[in-house]
Amino acid sequence: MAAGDPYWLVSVAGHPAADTGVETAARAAITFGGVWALCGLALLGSLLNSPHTIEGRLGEQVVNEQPDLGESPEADWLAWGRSNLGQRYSPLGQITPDNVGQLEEAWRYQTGDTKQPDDTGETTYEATPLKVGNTLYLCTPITGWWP
Amino acid sequence: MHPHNWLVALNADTGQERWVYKAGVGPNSQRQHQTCRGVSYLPPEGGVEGAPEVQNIGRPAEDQPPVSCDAHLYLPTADARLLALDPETGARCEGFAQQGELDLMHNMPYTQSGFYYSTSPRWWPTGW
Repeated sequence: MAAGDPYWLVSVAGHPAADTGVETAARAAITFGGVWALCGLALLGSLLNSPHTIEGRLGEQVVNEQPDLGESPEADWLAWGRSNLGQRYSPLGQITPDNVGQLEEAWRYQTGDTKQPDDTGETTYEATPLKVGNTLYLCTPITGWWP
Repeated sequence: MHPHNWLVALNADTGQERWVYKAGVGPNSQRQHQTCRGVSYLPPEGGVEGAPEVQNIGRPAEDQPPVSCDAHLYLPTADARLLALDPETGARCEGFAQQGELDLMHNMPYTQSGFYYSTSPRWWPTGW
């Protein structure tokens, strides 16, 4: 076989270099098939096996009946995460998993600040509004508002 | 031109606009993000319960002259400014930085437009 012949791998595997083309091709196929099979096994093994996973279950008992919810009044959302503790948790209880399905749209507001042709591609609506008393404060860009 | 970074004050019950402040930020394709994740609120000295009623301002809030503020709203802009506004009227707060505007590029070594700006609300560790 000439140097640069694509079946040099087969030669390295220990078979004589003077095989016919068909036998060489068969050996190459077996070698490559074997490599692929090994890779497949390794992939399957890694999918089914997660050495860094820790199985567990969060406790459901109440640890603290009156947790510190920061200095934001109950009905207000004074910061991005509601209060300076950033808990994103509202203590209000009127809306529950049982009645949330009965919510209806109260109003809809469109700011009008929409993406323009010369804006950068990543122009997005990501605003979390603040609520202070009876006023909502939000910043744009924004393409729609869903209460 | 359609500038971005508006701060909108709405009636929470009806969705009606109370005032809108337009920060006049033009488009810039060099920015990776064109967004605003929220504003920040500093309650008045006497506590948020004593905050005055938010007014209905019929004209652009940015046209108003700067005022003395008790409570503050802080708006980050995509052109690297931080604006302080009066939550009651949307007017700039004269006591904050340069008549309500803080230039976040001040003393920055690289001032290429679009390379630094803020999209997220400020956080106050004390003062509540």
